[in-house]
Amino acid sequence: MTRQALAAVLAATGIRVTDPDIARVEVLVAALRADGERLTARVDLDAQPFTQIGQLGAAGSSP
Amino acid sequence: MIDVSAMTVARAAAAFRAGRFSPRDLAETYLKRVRELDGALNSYLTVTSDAALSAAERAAEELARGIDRGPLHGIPVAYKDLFDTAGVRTTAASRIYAHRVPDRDAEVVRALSNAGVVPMGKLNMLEFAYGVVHPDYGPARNPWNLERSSGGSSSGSAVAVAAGLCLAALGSDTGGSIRMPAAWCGVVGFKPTYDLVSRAGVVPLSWSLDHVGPLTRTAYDAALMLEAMAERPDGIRDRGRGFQAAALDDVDVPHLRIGVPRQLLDTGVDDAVRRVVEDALSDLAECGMAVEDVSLGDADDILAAELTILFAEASAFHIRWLRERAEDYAPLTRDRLEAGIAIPAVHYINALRAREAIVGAFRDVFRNVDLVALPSAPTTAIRLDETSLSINGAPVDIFRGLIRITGPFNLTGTPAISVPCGCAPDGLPVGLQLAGPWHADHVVLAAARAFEERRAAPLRLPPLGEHLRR
Repeated sequence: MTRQALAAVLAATGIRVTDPDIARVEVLVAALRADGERLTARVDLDAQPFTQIGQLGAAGSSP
Repeated sequence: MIDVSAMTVARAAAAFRAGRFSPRDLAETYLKRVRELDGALNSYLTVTSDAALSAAERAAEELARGIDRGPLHGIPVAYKDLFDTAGVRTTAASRIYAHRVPDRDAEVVRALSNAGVVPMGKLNMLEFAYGVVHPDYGPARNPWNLERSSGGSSSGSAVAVAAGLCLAALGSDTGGSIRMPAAWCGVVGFKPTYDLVSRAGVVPLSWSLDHVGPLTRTAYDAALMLEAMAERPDGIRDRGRGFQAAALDDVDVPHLRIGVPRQLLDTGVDDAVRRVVEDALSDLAECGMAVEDVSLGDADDILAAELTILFAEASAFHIRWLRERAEDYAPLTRDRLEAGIAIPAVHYINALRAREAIVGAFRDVFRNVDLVALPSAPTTAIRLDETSLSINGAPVDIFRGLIRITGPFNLTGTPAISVPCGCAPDGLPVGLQLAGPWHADHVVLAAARAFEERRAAPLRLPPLGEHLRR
């Protein structure tokens, strides 16, 4: 999976893939199989806040 | 053979009891249609002919002896291939589950068996209900135009009902997967209130967004199906609520208030579809319903929360196979699952918090209106080779474009239906989506039934003979 593909899939979730140096995320996904912490350690994600969260404080659950 | 062009669950049930034909006659008719037509449509992955004929024979004998299990007794029903069926392969249209044979039925399958349905088989779908056709299975083709998509993920369910290859089907809906294919194939698709129907024994996509519901030819048939489906063998019965089809008769339809979320209708919907839906809204008004504009909140926020939860929960379920068998997924399914791994826990938690706020906003909306009306899909069925939607000439990502107008009701767990409301100039069906507050399933279904009665459009089957001769 390329960084561009990752960015495309995540775009509508409010997450931007911001690290321009990582050419291929596939390497990281492969690393994940050996070490579950590697992916989040290496991919720089900028998660945008949800604007409606300010309306309450408690964490949500299923409806 | 029986003429099934205008057949419904209710009509078949009446015909059995009047002695006009038997459940076995009807099962044989549908099995013959499957043999003749499904080679071109690809809606079934497994046809359980022996089980169908055996159940039909049993239903006929029971009815003759005065044992009446209700309106679904002897009705040919088929299941999306993610409902576990004991002894029958259940693939989720994936290579991962290609040889999986469950040893017990899903609870909803068991509930329908207790209601006496005739199990026709297992229906094609998008891989793991995640929006992509797996090449091992191929697409279920739209019966109104074989070069068009049937949508998804309950693609085979919509095709089989539309083409007269069963009378009712089961689907699942995580972001629109019952309503959208129903709209594209010209049938009714209903997503009940979250957890009204058991998900036990149903392969999950995203458990806090997944809903189980029926696809049928009429809204009343959907109500008949739901009544049996909501019977919980686990005794939960949705915290004691259940569902009765007779409740539709208690709804004061002419006094319903309909809210139209203009932000969603006026942007992200193709003009051809919007015009058909505007005509449908005029008909609702002529039924006596008050139609007014409402806002559901920020559409981008709602979509982001839905997709964040969906991606993260789907990846959590699939993590084992992502590690061991990633190459067995269709490429785009794999991309989505790998992207889901990358979602930070904090973002997922914030999406859950956002959902709470959105649920609150919906509560406010449903204090002022009884139902919300939208299209069920922003376009008519796209070509099988298209990789994006075209909305008023602009390309739009398929997943996002579709989920934008159906997903809000998954995120909030509110009931929503797609009911056919005419055709666009391209000759393809358009669906009107009606959604209501939690546990107002009967109100949604009653309004859809009233709309059908107002339109009085005769039921018809696609001209498949013409397509097959080409």
